[in-house]
Amino acid sequence: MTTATREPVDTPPKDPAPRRVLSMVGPQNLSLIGALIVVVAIFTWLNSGYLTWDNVQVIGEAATVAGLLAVVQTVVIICGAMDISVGSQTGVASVISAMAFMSTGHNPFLGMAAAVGLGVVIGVANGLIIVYGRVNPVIATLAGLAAYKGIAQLISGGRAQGFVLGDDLFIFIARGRIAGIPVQVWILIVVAVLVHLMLKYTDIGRNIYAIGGNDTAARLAGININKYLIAVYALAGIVSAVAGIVLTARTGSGQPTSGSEGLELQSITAAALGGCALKGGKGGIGGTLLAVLLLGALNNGLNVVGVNTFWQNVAQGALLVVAVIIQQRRSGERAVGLPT
Amino acid sequence: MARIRRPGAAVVALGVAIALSLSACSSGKESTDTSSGKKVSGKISLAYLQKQGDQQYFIDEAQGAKDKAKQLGNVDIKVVNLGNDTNKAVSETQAAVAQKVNGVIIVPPDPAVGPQIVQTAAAAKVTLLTSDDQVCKNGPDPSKCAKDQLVQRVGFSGSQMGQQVGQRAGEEFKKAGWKASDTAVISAWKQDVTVCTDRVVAAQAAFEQAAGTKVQVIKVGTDNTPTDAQSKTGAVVSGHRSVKHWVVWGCNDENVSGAVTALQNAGYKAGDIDGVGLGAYLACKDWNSGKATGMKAALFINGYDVGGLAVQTIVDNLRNGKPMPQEAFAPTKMVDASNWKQEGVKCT
Repeated sequence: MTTATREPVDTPPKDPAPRRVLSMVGPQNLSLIGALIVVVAIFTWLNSGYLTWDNVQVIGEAATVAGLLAVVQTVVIICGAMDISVGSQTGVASVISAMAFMSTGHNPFLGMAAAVGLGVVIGVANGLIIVYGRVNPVIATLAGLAAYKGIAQLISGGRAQGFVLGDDLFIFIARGRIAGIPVQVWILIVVAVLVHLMLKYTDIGRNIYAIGGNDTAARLAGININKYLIAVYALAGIVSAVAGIVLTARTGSGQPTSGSEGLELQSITAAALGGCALKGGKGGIGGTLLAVLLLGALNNGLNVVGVNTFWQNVAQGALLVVAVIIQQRRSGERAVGLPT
Repeated sequence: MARIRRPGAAVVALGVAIALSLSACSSGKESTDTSSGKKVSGKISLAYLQKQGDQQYFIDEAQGAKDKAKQLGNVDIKVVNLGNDTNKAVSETQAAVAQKVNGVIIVPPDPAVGPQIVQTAAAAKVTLLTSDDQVCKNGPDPSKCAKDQLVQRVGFSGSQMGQQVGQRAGEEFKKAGWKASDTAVISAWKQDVTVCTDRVVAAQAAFEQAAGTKVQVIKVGTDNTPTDAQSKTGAVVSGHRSVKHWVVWGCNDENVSGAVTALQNAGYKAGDIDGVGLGAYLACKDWNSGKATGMKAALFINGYDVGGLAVQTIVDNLRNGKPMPQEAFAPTKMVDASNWKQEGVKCT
């Protein structure tokens, strides 16, 4: 007769602390951190001025506008959609914030409120077109990319509008520091933390993951998908407006197109590189922020060591493709054939 | 419905942020002095930040700057293409400052971003010089800027260039003996780029003066590339078939070359087109082919000379303390099929 001692069923298996930390970070983020370390090491080796606090701040500031859009793009992609119009929305918000600032006797709060208000309107319009027009999100926001850019050019006459660098608040956003960290970076941190908390710790976030993962199941579970989609696009409008305000502060005036063209590609690249499944239902803010940092460090490094700027576009395109290929491989789908 | 399940992390994160914020703050307000005032005895490092660095003119300018740096010796120069991105102009200025360069030469994508660039350089005591386009220290519009508030500049004047182009176009119009009633002007430029607008506005005024009459002007919005100018002009021609003669000017050679090609493709003979380019680097290709072309002339602005002059000016200041002139101009010449080679236009 043999006796066997059994572990109590309710005791979780004991994991060593390092392994627990590693599993919390996740393999996707670990690979991004690894890539970041490699990038930083190479550029520091090539130029000792790369890894200085001054340059780290520059990387952070340069990545803020694209980072804000990447954060909100992450939410849209998790929900199973996409927003290609975020760059143009940023341009509209930049122009509106500067024009409203000038026309209200240099009131920065009214300027910013006008930009955010319009951001909500544009975001809701995107959502309504997709839901009630039954237009594919990519097509609807591709149309928005052109239309909102046109609106920004129309209301500005194609010229940079206003001048905000006489105002203390805009100057604070552009050049201020809090605890030695640029204010713009704090704005990105605050927005990212709030969105992360919403996604991870509220029912709203859970429902967004559920919609992206399986919209039919989500609908059968009683989630009002239409309402959620419109709200997610409204959120994209708000965060794009915040990005527009930061752009206005950084450049000193409302820019209809300059500074906002190409942001959609950057935001989608960062979200995909950060682990968002383009089919929806998967992804997180941590990964996206790491990807934003990686792209920012790479772009900055290429300039620091004097690599031709044209290569940066090649690098960004290549990174997006590599990120999606890696995702497809990890998803366990068949290795060859048309993507589903 | 929106219950927060674990608010602890949020509270802690926000608490840390607020605590940090109270420990060190900077309002960001700084001075606007564009010269460091310090002589540099050793190696001089420079950053040359250029808009539209993929255009032939700016490629030449970058080469001129690099060659001059090499010739002067002990000068390290890094050239960055800003495209049309004002946000990148700010980022790259910050990056150059972080790299502890001694001087920054910039051609901003839009002069409206100038005050921010000036502040960034001044705060780090980095010497700043602009090339090609004017920048105001305390306002977005250089044309409304007090003279002492303009940053020192090397290059050409946008409105002067436009004026020369318009004048030559007017002279060609008069010489051809065309009537204003059956002629139209194509004015092609990227309409949200202020410096381009300045050029074409000046060109129109000079044309009317030189031609002695007003001609219908069709404004064509492009992205400053030959292909876009060509396709947009093609559409314009379709809508104006009654026009017998065309005058063409634009922000640069790309616009004029594209528009002239479209007109020729639409069946207009070279003799019915009066195109005056700006740059001469594309116009020369038409002349080089030896065939009749509507590209009658072009203002030769030598980017190579401007790049070299800019580096010489800032190095003189940094090494010897020689004050930078408020404006230094490289020579411009109106060239055509008969004299472009003698005037030194390099055709790639």
